[in-house]
Amino acid sequence: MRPVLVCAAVFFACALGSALGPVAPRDSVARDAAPARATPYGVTGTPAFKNLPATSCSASSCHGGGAVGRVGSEHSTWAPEAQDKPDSDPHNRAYRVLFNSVSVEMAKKLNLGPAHKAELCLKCHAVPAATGDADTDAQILTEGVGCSGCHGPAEKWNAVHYLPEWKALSNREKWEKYGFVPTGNLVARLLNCAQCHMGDADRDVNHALYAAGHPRITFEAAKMHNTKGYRKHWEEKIKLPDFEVRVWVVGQATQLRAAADLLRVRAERAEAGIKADARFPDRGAWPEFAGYSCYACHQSLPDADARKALSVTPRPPGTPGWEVWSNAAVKVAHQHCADAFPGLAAPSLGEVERLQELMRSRKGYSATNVAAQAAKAVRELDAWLVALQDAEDRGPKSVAPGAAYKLAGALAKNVFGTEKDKDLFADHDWDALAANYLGVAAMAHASGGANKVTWGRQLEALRDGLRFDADPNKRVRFDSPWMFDLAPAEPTKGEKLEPKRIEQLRQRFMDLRAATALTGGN
Amino acid sequence: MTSAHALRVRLASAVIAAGAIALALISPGGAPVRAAQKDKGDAPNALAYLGAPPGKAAGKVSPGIGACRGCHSGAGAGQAGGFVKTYQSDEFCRLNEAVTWDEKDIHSAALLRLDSKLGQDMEKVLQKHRPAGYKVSTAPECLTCHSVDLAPEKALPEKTADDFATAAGGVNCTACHGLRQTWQVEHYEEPRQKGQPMPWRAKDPAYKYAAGMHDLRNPVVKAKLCVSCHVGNAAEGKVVTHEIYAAGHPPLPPFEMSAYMEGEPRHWGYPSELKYFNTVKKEDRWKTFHFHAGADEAYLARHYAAGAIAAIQAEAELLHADATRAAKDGDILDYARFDCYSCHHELRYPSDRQKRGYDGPPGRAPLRAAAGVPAWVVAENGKASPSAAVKALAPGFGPQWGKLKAAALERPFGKPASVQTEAKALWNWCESFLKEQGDTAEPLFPAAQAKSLSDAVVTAATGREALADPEAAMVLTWGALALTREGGMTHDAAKLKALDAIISENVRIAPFDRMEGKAMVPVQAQFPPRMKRVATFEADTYLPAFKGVFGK
Repeated sequence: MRPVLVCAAVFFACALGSALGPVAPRDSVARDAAPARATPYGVTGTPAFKNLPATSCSASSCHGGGAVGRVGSEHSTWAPEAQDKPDSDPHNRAYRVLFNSVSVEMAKKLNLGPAHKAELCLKCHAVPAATGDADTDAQILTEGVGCSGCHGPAEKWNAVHYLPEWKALSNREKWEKYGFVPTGNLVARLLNCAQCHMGDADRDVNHALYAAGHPRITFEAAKMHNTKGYRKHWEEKIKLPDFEVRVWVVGQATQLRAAADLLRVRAERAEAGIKADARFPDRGAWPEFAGYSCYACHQSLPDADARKALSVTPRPPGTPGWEVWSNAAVKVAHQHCADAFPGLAAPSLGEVERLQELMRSRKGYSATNVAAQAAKAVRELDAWLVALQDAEDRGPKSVAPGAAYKLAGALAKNVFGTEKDKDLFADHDWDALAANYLGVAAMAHASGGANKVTWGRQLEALRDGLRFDADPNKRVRFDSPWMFDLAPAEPTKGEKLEPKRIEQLRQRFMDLRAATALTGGN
Repeated sequence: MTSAHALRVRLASAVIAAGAIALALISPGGAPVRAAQKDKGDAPNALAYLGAPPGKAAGKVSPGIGACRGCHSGAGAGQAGGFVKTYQSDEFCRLNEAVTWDEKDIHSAALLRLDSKLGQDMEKVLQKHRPAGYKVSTAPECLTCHSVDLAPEKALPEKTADDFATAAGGVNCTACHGLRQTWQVEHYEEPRQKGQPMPWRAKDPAYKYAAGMHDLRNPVVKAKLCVSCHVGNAAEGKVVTHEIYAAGHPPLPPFEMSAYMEGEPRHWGYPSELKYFNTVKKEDRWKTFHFHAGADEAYLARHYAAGAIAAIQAEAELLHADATRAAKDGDILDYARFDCYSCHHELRYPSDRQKRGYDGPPGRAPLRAAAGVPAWVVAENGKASPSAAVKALAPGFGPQWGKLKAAALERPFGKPASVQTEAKALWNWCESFLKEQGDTAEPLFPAAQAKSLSDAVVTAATGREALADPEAAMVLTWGALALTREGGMTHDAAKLKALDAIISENVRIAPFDRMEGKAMVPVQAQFPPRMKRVATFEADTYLPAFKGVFGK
C-alpha cells in the first residue's frame, strides 16, 4: 500500500506543482502554447488604468537611491534636478518645452490657448493625469514624459511589481492585467516609443502643426537609443551586436506599423467627414501632408531636376512619396528577419505592398480606398510584430553570426535599383537615402563603431554628404536639403566643375556598397 | 463704340453657340447662352469676348509664313520696297518683324526646344507614364503651346499631331495674328485709286476679326492671347500639369503684361514709336487702333490692367476645368493650380511665411498670390476709375477672389465643388471687367489714374503677400518698374542691379540672341539664375533693396 501512497503523493505533488506553475526564470516567458495572438502586447488591449506621479517610484529605497547610473537609482539618473550631473533623459524636459517661444508661437497660430494647457500638446509632452486629485494631476503633468509614459500606467502594478509572484507572470499577462509595459521586450518598448515619436489616433502631429513651427517628428529606433547626451537609466540585457541589430529590425517593423495605423486613422476620419475643432486643429484634413515625404515638396526648384535622372522610383513624376522614411528600408529588415531572430519565419507583407502601390497612384487620394487598405496592412504588420515579440521572449538571445555585416551589405544595395538599374537610386528622396544610411550606421555601431569596420570611412563620407548645410552667415537654420540641387558655383579657370550633391551622394553610396559587399556576403 | 458695332457684337454673342464653348455670359442686353458644340463641360472660352469665331468669310486655315516673310523681312528686303515707297508702310509697322523674331525673340525657339536636351530628358521621364510611342515633339499636350494649333477649339484628348503645323516654324506669325487666309491676303491689298492709303488699315477691328485677324492692338485681346499660353487655357488644351513640371518643365514665370511687353524684343511698335500714328485723327485712334496719345492715356498702365485681370481669369478657367474633373473623378485638384513656392521652399527658421501668418489652417497650399495681387490692385484702382462702368464693377473683385481663395483652402488642395463654383463666378466678373477695359473708348488711365495705379503696385510690392512669396514679389516688382518708368521715374542703375540680384528685374535674365546663327543657350542654363533667386529669397534683403530703388 505504501508505495502506491508514495506514488500518489508524488503524482499529486507534481500535479499541484504544475497547476501552480514552475518557478519561472527571471525573464518571463509566455507559458501557454498560445493560440496565435493577433496583436502584440504593450500598446493596446488594456483597460484605462491611471498613471501615478514619479514620487510613487522615486522613494530612496525603490528607484530614487541617489547613486546616478546604478540599479535602484533609476529616477535619480532620469531626473535633471536630483543631481548636478550633466545630461539626463530628454523626456523630463518634455513639459517644460511647452513654455518656450516656439511653443508659444505655435499655440497662437493654431488658436489653442496656452500650449502647456492644450490637450493636443499634452498628449505627447506629458502623460495623462486623471487621478482625481488636482495637485497630483499637476505634478504628473510637470514631470513631462514621466515613468508611466514608457513603463505603463502604474495604478495596478505599482504595488505588485516587486513581489515574488510578479516574476511568474508572462509579459503579456503583465500588460493585459496590470498595464505594465515589459520594456525589456523590444517590440513592446518600441511600440510605446512610436505612440509619441510616430503618432497615433490621439497623437497626430499633422501638417498644420508643422507649418505652425513644430520640429519634424522622425523615429529611428537604433539612432534614438544612441542619441548623444541621452543618459540611460537602464542597462540593456542583450549586448552588442545582438541588441543593435535587433533594435534596428524591430524598429523598422514598429515604425511602419505606426505609420500605417496613423494613415488608417487619418483616412477613416476623413471618410467620416470629421471636422477640425478648437482642440485639434486640422483634424480630418485629407490628404494629410504630414504623411508624405517632407522634402518631396520642401525643396527649392533650382533647375531641371537632376534627381529623377538618377533614380528608378516607380512613383510617377510629381507624386510625393508616402512615408518614405518608414518604407525605404523595411524590405531589408523583412528579408533578413531570420538573421536577427534565428528560426523566425516572417509572415508575408503583401498587403503592405498593395498599400504602397495604392499610395503611389491617384486612387491614393481617396480616403475610402486608403482606410480599407491601411487596415489590412496594419493587421499584417501586427502579425509580423507578434512573431518578432514571441521570438524575443522565446529566445535565443543572439543574432545569427555575421548578421550586422550581412544587413549592412543588404542596406547598401537597397539604395539602388536592380539589374540594369543597379547604379541608379531606387528612390532619390532624401528620406530613403537617410533611412538606409542610418541602418548601415546601426550595423557599424553594432560591430563596435565606424573605426571597427572596413566600411567606416565610406559611412562617414555619407554622413557628411547627407547633412543639411548650415547657413554660412549663421543667421538662419535649415531643416531641409537646401543647396543639394543648386548648380554648383562656376569653377574658376582650370578647376573641375564640382558635381551636384545628389550625384556626390550617389558616388558615395556606390563606394559604401562596394565596401560592404566584401564582408557582407549575400 | 458705334451702335452698329454694338449691334454686331450683340448678334455675335447670341450666335456664340455655333462655334464656342461658353458658359453663361453676363452680356448687356443678351440672354445667357450655352454652348451647343462638343461636350466639354462648362469650360469658359477665352476668345468668346471677341464674338463668334471667324466663319467662312475668314477663309481657310493657313499657317504658313513664307508669304509673311516675303514682305516682313526688312524695309529694304523682298517685296517690302514697293510698299515703303508708295505707302510708307515702314511708318505703320516695322517691316523687319521676321528678322527680329528669328534672331531675338525666344518665341521662335519654342518648337525647337522640344528637341533640346531638356525636352529629351522630359520625354524619357514621361514615356514611362504615357502610351507607347510617346514623343514630346509630336505630343499634343506639348504642341498646343509650343507650336501653331490649327484647331484650338478641339478638346485635348481628341487632338493629334496633325492638328499642329509643326513645319511652319513653331510659334509663328499666324499663331498670334490669326490663322485664317482672308486677312493674310487682304491686309496688303492696294487701293483701287492711286494716291489713296492702304484700305485695310482704316477698317474697324470687327471687320478685321471677321476676316480672321486677331486685333492685337486691343489690350484685352493681346492679354487674353498671351495668357492662353503663358498661364494656360484648359479649353484649348494648354495646361502645364504638375506631372509635366516634375518631369522637368521650367516653372512658368508669373505673367505681367507690361513687363512682358517691355521685355520682348519688339517686332511691333508702340504707337508712340511709329510715325503713322501721329497722323491718326483723334476720333479714330481708339476706334481703329485702340490707343490714345501719350498725354491722354498711359499706354502701359492700360495694358497692365488688362494683363492682370486676364491672368487671373486664365487661372480661374484652369481652376474651373480642373475642379470639374476632380469633382467628377472623386480626385483632388492638380498641384499645379496652386502656389508653387508655398510648397517648394526650403524649411528655414526663422520663416518669412510663419511671420506673415496663414489665411486658412497653417500649412495649406493657397492659390497663386502672384496672379491675385496684381488683379486686386487693378480692381482697387478701378474704384476711382474715370469710367462709371469700371467703377461700378470694381468692388466685385475682392469678395469673389476671397471666396475662391477660401474654396481652395477649404480642404488640402481645395474642395472641387466649391472651387468649381467660385472660379466660374470669378471668370464671369473678369469677363465683364475686361469688356470695359477693351471697349471703353475714353482713356481709363489718364496721368492721375496711371500714377495712382503705379503707386498702388509699388505699395503692394512690399505688402504682406510679397514679403513671404518670391513670385508675388517678382511680379509686383516688374510691374512697379515698368509703370514708374512710364511715369517718368529713372531708377538708379546701381540700386537696380542690387535689386536684380535678389528678384531679377526682367522676366528674362539673359537676352535671347541668335544673330548671325549663334547657337541657342540651352534651357537648363537659362532659368537657374531666376530659380536661384526664388530659392534664396528673403524679406530682410528684398525690402531694403526694393526701397533703395523706389525710395519708399
